[in-house]
Amino acid sequence: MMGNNGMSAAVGKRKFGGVIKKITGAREFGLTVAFAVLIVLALIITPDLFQVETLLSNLRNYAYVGIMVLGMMGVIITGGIDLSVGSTLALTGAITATILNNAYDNKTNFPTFVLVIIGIAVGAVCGFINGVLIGKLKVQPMIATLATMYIYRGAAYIVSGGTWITASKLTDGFKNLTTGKFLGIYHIIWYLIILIAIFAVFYRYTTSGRRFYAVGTNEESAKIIGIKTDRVKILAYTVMGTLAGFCGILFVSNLAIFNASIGDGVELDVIAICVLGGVSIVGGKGTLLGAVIAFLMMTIVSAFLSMITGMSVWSDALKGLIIVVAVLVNVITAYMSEKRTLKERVI
Amino acid sequence: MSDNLTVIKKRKFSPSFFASWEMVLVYILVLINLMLMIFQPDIYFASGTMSSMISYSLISAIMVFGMIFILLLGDIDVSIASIMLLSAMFMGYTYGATHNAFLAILVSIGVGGACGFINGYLVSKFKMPAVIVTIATSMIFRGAARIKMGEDKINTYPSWFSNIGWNNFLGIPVSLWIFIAFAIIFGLILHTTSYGRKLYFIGNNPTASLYSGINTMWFKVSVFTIMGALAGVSAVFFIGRYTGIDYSMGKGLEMDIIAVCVLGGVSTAGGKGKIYGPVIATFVYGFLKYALELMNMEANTIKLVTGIVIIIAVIIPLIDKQFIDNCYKFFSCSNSKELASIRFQERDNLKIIDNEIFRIKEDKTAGEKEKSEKVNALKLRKDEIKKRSNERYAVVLETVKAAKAAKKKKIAAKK
Repeated sequence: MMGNNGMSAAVGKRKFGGVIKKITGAREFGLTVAFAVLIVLALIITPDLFQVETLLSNLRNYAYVGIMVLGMMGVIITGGIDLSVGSTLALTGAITATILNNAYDNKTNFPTFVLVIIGIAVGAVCGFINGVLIGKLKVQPMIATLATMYIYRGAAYIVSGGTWITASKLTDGFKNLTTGKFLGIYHIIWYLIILIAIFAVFYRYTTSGRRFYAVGTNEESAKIIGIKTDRVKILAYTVMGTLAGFCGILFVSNLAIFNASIGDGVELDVIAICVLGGVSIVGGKGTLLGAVIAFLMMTIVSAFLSMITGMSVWSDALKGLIIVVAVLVNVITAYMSEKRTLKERVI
Repeated sequence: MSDNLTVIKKRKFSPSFFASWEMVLVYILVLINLMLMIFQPDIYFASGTMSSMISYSLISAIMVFGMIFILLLGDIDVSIASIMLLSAMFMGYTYGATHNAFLAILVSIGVGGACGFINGYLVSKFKMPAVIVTIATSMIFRGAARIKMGEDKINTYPSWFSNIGWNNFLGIPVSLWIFIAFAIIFGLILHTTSYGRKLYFIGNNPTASLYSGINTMWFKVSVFTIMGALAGVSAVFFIGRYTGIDYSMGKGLEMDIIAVCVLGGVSTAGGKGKIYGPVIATFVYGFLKYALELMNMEANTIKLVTGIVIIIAVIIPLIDKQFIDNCYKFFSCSNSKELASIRFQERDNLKIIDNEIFRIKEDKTAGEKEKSEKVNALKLRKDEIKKRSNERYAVVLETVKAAKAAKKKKIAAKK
């Protein structure tokens, strides 16, 4: 698509048309239009949804998915997939919740920032194991993360002993980690915003970030250029694991409840949002902007569905339908733009 | 294998047969049985344990055959559990309305096939990635079933279904009979028909197979449809075991099926795999789970163990000569290419001389004295090679060390 725009500029005709084309031809354009349509629809059906407080609380409960999307995008761009994120989330949640539970039983106070560091470290180790399996040992990403999904989930049950840990066992400082407010916005949303800013720079302007795209586009040529593809993959999975670990803490802190089955199936949501945002599952393509728009869209959809009574049974089917349609639109627009490029080349 | 010019040797039984992946699976299967024999002898030798273990392994095993086909194409289908639920639901409604078991099963297979067709059409016509399509359709199918069923349970099934899940026929579980029949049919399709060869062809190189005149699009659709229909068949087994269903039926089953296929040596990249690997792996996986349950392990510990088993199963085939060489390089040559290459060269040269010695010893035309002279000369040569390579090794080691020290200095200077 970018090549197409460059071509039309070189011809020197239709300069203004070129700008419009650049906007309408962008991968995110279709998504943005869909987003706008959705908002209008939601406005008509459930005007209550568009109160600041409702939106914020919905975003607060869904923000952890957005944080994981940032990492999953990198993994998918390198041509992989990570199914173990939900289990990593549960494992870190289990470890932090169990520590807090024990501290409560012993009537000691456990500093929150140490918990955060522990959680992030656990997540990073989980991701690193995935990365070594996939990057160094060349196991298929799907299979490796499928196996580690089982392992981390089992470990979460073993660590927590399969019990529920409730709000009374958690310290206020820990709960305040997400539910506290800064400038009227929940902390967890601030984390999301900050991380989006960091990753926007990371994927676009840093060497490591660009290497993700290189590896995903063509692994062989990336190797020939001198990129250590195995290290890039390990980095991608470790970043993913770190974010998932962080989300484990946020999840427990936000809902103030823990059970080892938390985050079950969230990996599908995360992958779906990435694909919806135009990240190509075969690797090498995708922008953070698209992923973020897709995330907001899914937030609205899930909020919208929870607002209408009796719609909760529909949510899964509708989400699936939205994904299919979005991917279909993506495929068709890619095909059309390819055709257009070919046409312009002939002229 | 042999032409007229070479002397035809009598083919010996190849020892690599015992190291093949399928045999490794058999060893694991035997090991699981032995462990059960040792740790739970009263349960293991009780009558009926064996057949219940087999029926347990085969609850959803029919879907393995479809999954082999799909993995051979290089695609994947994670919607099978949802398809199974949907077809089980329709089967229940049909039987409830008509009390015609044959029609109910036909409806189940038809619904499964239709779901598979949708998957296949989306994947092959629009070239959408199979992972995403099937994730989305699994949400849709399960969601649709949930919209219809809500929190209800469906129990309207023929009572003789439970024979499949629990009873024996001629001393062998009914499910095993059916499983063997399916295994033979699908083994014949995969290994003797042109359909099966095309599967391998498309899996290895879709573009080349398209150019050589295979209609890859409709071929893919057919494979996905077969998978869906098998999910419909599998619903019968599932209900035979559990009698009723609700909307969470078989959640996560797709991962088990994929794990069985991978354990059986089917590559998820496509174009690699045989039918008997997954057939044995079905029993390995089922027996392992059953054995762990017998040892009073928690459901989630079992999950953990199965995860570890999958990883080990995937890593074992990676251990080849290259891997061992790399380990050698890493541990005893201080991770240096130059040092390792000296060692490998030495090893190769010594091997050549060893072969020569072996050849001389086997030679029947030469006299004993001549032989021993030649052998001694070669042994001297061996010593010489060893000595020379050791000398070279020492020299290179120093340069490598010097290079490392220089690098360290450079880093220190930077700081």
